[in-house]
Amino acid sequence: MKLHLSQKNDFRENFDQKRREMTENITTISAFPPPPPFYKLYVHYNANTAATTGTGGSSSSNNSAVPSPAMPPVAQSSMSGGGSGGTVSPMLPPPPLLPAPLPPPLPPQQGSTYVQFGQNYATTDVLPPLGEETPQLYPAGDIEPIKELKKLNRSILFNYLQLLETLIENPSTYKTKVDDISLLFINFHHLLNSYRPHQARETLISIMTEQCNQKKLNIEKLNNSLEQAKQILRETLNAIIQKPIDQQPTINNVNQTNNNINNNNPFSPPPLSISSHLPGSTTNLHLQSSSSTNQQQQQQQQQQQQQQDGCNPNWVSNYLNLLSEIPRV
Amino acid sequence: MDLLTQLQDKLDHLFLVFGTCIGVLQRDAPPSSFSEVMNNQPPQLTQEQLTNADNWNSQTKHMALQVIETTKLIESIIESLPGFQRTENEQYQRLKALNHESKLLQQQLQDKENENDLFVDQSPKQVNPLTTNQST
Repeated sequence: MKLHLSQKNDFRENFDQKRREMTENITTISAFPPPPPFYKLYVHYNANTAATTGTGGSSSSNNSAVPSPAMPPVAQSSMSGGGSGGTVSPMLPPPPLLPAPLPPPLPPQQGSTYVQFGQNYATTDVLPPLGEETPQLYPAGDIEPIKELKKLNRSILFNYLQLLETLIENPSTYKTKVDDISLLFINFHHLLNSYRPHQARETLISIMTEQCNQKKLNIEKLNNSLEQAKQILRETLNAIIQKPIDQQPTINNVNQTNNNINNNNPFSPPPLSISSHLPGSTTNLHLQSSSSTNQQQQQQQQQQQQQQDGCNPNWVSNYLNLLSEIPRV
Repeated sequence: MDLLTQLQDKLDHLFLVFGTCIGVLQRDAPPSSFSEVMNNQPPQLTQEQLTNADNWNSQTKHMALQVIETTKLIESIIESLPGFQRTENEQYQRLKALNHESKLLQQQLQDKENENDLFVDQSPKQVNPLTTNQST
């Protein structure tokens, strides 16, 4: 059905009106809730809005835009580059203008107060005194706390018995006795609270003592482990040096022992390839004669899995020197 | 739980026991008989009344026992409190000394660890010639 021209105009007007209403609605209704107000603590909010709206232009405006001092230098350089007339590379998009957050405020000084969740708190934690209406029953200054606590405990029990007698004989005068018992309890609690800092310090002392002991133990263990490792290596290398050349394993000996080992242990490693010729080093290996045949056999069993091809004994002595040179604390 | 907190809890419990005992006494105590008060004659009670009196006596004894036990427990906790031998200044000096010792030990531990790391790093480099074919 074809629409008449007037109908078309009416339809267009209605459509425009509805679009205007929608845009008006969009400006008044936000899709997302506003951010919490404490974000203003970290941003020069007023300076940024002045930079972006007071000058009447966007960030791409040329000379009139003044970068805010909180803006990062990259953003500032991009803005200045835009202002100088086309020095910004057309290939790269300008970086987003994210204002740098403010540094956090300094912590409150000792002795001052601070506000936390709407309440004032003091930086120094001091137990408040009992007050004028609540007299202190135990003496001030240096006291024996255990003795005073026992006295208060017995006074509480005695006053309770007196309260029972008062209730029997003269019930109308119960209030004074109840006030006395309350006073005793308040003093007891105040005395206990006054020893909380002492308890905290003692707890800290015990924790730190335990930590020191643990560190000493760890140092001792590390020392022992290192010494054991060095000793094992030293013994092994000494055994290598002390073994005469004719008793060192050859291909035939090694293969035979490896076959024996393989026959006995299916999980043994594959045989190593060892050449029987040790060029230029035969005389150097006769450093010391072995002490006994048993010792030599034990050393030979230990070294059957080592490769001794091209063994240069100089590195052995270098290594032993290194072991002795490692600084000991 | 530390001893001071236990002591505070027991103290609060004692206060509660005091209030409970007095409340029960006021609410549930049986009335006295006139013959007992006026003529000092023992009351003539039925069997049921005798049973109730026995129950009441045991209840009062139980309440008194609670008070005494709580008080004794408080006293035992007070006696087991750790010694207050050190003054505040002595504690602070001890803390400073411990802090200094802890830093020294930490440095020693770090040095020992570095020494171990050096040993672990250098050992394979020196032992590797044994495992490779080298012609000298």
